[in-house]
Amino acid sequence: MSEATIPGSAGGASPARRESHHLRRAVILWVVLSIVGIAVWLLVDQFVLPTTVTDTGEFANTTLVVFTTLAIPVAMFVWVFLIYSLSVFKTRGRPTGDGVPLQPGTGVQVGWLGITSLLCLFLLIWGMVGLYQETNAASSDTLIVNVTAQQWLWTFEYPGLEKPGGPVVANQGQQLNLPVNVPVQFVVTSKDVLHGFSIQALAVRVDANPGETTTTQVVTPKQIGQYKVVCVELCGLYHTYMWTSVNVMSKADFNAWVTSLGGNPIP
Amino acid sequence: MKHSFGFVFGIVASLILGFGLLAGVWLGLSSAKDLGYKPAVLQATKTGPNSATLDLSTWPDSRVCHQDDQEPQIDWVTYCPSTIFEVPANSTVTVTIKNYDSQTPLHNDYFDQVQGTVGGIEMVNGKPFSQVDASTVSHTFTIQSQPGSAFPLFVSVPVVGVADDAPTDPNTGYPTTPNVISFQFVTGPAGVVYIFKCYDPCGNGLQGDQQGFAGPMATIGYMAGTMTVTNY
Amino acid sequence: MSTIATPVKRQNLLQLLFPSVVSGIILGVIGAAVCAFIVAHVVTPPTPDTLDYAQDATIVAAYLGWTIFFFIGIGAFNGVWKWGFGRRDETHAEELQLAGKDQGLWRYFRYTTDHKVVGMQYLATVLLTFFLGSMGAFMIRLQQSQPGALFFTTSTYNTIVGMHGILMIISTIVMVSGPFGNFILPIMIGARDMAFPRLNALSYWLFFSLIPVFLSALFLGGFPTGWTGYAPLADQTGPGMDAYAFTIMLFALSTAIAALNIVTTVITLRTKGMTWGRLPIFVWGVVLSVLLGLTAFPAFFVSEIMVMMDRVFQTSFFISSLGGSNWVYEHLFWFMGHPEVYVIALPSLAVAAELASVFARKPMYGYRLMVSGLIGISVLSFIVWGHHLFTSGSTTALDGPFMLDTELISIPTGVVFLVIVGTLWRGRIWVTVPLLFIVGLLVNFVIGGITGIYLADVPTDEILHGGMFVTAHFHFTLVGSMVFGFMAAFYYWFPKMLGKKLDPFLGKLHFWLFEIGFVGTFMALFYAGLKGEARWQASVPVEFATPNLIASLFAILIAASVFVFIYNVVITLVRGERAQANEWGAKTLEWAVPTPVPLENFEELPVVTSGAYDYGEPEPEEAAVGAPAQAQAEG
Repeated sequence: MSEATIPGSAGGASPARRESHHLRRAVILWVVLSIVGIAVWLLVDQFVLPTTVTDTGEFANTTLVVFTTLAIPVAMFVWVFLIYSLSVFKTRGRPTGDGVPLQPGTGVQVGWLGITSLLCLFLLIWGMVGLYQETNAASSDTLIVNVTAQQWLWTFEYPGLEKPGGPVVANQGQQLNLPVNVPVQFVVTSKDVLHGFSIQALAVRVDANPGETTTTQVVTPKQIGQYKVVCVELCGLYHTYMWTSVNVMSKADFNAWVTSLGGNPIP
Repeated sequence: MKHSFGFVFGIVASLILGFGLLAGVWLGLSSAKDLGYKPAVLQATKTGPNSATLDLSTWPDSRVCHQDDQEPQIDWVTYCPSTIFEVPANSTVTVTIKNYDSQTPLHNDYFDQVQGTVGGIEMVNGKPFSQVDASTVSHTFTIQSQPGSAFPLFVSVPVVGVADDAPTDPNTGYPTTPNVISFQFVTGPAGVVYIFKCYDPCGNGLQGDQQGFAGPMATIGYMAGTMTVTNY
Repeated sequence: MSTIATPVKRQNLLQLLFPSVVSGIILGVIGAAVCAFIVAHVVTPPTPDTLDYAQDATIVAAYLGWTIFFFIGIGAFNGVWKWGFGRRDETHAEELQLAGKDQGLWRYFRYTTDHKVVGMQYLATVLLTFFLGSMGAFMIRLQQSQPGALFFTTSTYNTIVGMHGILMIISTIVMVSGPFGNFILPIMIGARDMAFPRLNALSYWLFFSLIPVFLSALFLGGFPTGWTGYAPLADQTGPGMDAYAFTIMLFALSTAIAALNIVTTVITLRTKGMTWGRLPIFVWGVVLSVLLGLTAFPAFFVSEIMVMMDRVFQTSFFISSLGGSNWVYEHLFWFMGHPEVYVIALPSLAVAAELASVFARKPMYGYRLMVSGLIGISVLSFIVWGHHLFTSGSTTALDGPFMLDTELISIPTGVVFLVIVGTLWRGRIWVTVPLLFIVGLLVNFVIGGITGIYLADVPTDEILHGGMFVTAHFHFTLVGSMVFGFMAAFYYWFPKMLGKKLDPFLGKLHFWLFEIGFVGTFMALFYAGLKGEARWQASVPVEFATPNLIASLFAILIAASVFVFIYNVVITLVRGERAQANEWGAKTLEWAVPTPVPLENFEELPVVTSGAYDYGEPEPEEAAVGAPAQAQAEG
């Protein structure tokens, strides 16, 4: 079994020495590329992450940043060892001999399983923390919005804001008004089929099920602006047109709108 | 295999044939009548430099303006003559709907109010209303915007249904006197496409509280369509 | 069993045509028409009262008629009939006749039991369904290249999306187990055929018979639900949905039968010396995959029966206003839907490990570790389906546990990566086209797997579910990894199955066009998903126009790669160079038999004395006479 055709190998060095030589080079490449990759990611992430105006959304964005930062060394490990092997160990045409019969020792197996398990554990703890944070009940000053989905329009009403004859109903089609810095929770249902109620910027997403109500988490929009409700569950012909403009405005403007409909303003 | 000129020619020919096939697939699928029925365009009649009229009618079946339909479409409720509208830009459009169809109560009372029309009202047989009884509605005429539209517009008008005990013409089976609904709305600049939809569950499909949202309600040309604002 | 060799005459044209696929189709069409007529005019005549279900009843009757009479026409029931009324078992010569002896190319068009014939039939049909599915993909990219529903109406587009999805799912589920699990696997374990040859033919022809059923959706108005077929939209919508539901039922039957066959074959027909510890990793991958499928697909089957009952018999399984629940459908569907992606993944990952060893000429870096990894993935895949339902509102209390075990799958997956990369490390790597596709698989699967973690985490799923990020994730895993694995297997086993070697230049061109096009397309869609683009957009919103245009431009490269691939296959079949019997110098048993493979595979069944991956170790001594050890001389 001739080792001479492996490029880059010194003529008489022992196989063990060559192994550590390749391993060292690959590890160095891995460390360098991981650092570069993480640096690039941390520079670029602001251009790629979704726009968000709630704490929930920011936690989700932070999660994306952290997970990607961890993922880069993992990905680089696979890619570096793979591409290194393909560049350095490749033969010209059909090989004339066999490769080194390596098997993973106990150290490699335990180490690999240990590291991947630790990574997994970290992901889990992070996820459970995030999950716990979001399952907070609505407080008394939460604005509740009832959302009704129908093929292919969202309609809204505010059960807490009474006017003579019933709750305040959002009277402009495809417009949902919300006051800034007030916690809001959506109670969602559907009249016909499954729809997906989603406001990306507020980081809320829950399906609208016929005959059932589902609730989103409580979120507090922290910035005035215009965002969108879109439908994220294919619901038929005009699924792609099923949207609403979310207008987050100052509390004063919101109350002015509510009173113009005859409803009680929020404190 | 020798990589001769013939070989390279073969690669190029495969690519040309392949993309030609893709074009063919596109043409075939987009013209398949069964997949995406595209009715004729109904252009609103201009009555002045900034006004136009759109005359529609609604029927309990498709024998009036979809005579070529087979079962089950021939029994579908429908707007006639079309649901693909074209209206002039920057104009006041007066819509008149003659409704020959009976009442199907709304499942979502949101649609019993008039929205987005001039004066916020509709005329039902000559009397103005800004909101009607949800159980008397037959259809709605609702125009909504596409996401990110350059000129958002939302018009929704409940079309009141003919009472069940109204007299019918013995020859056709349709009511002798339709309800006449009319209203006006103002269009914006040209080049914007809006979505037209009826939001009263007057179609088929499912049962119980979920009944009526399928069939004509989910098919362009019957209870769904588009409205394009153009210059003419 | 009679031991008298009964001579069997060569068959004339009429005997060849009946039974065959020709007679099957003729009888199937007649059967469909007759059943439809009876139901339409006698059982449920269409009136305004029966509007909601009369048409569905007629269509389902047509499909049932098609299926039953197709199988009568193709001769599937002949064996059953003979067995019931017969007085003797088939002679060996008659069994060879059923296996297609002396029938030339026509044996591929009949109910032939030879596993190699079935494997080739699967291969041709899967390539066809892949091709049709990819036409759908290019139409999707065409529509999404510009904002607005410019090229297709929204209704047509929704149908195209659904058909693309189902065609691809059907194709990817069978793409490795069907052609190679049938053709190669029995030879690999040293058997002459599968345990149930007639069931083998049945599983293939069930797969074939669903194609006209499925394509009939195009003439019935299509279906608007996408590939998931969610009820109650599925209950509500037009007749094209019946085509979808019936297709799934046929498909589930086909894969269940194939799964039973493969599992029984591997358990009972391994040759002497082929212990579970010496089984090629490909066999492990296929066996685990079909076991998963066997357990999971019945849930899909049942869910579609319930949809059909809601549509035809006006039941209300999924109609909540009458006591049903759409969550039932979602759970049934995803209970199938998650294991299903591992049904797709395991054979391709096993192919990757197999080929890594062959093309690095190195033992597998931890054979037992690899097997454990595959088993770990299989077991975990059953308890993670809830991660598709995090935002459905139905599993709130179970969100945590489902998140936990979904993230756990990263551990056995990591083991698989370790083994394959470790196998290549310090090897003597022969960079062939199959190996290139394996490298592509590994590169893409890293991205696919990691983005799966983002979706498994509930807080991030809140902003990503139902968006294009999900689409890009599952394309990176299913296409960028698993279809690449299929391509590797195709280029690898083509010389054994068809006796010719595919042109390496065209193969490399195919690979690079596919990889560059694929990564460009779906990285752009990851970005669109992060920015908030929802799935199933017939009219792409203006703010996502740029990433979608970029994705569509890269998709042109993918299309080019498909056409280059077709050219390669055609030109190789027509005038390609002949392949050697052991083209790659591999050590598994299929390379020890001649090409073309004889009808009964082996003169004498081999005796195995070692594993298939012991490169670089001293050759074992020759085993019993006439039975070469699994290790074969290098080519």
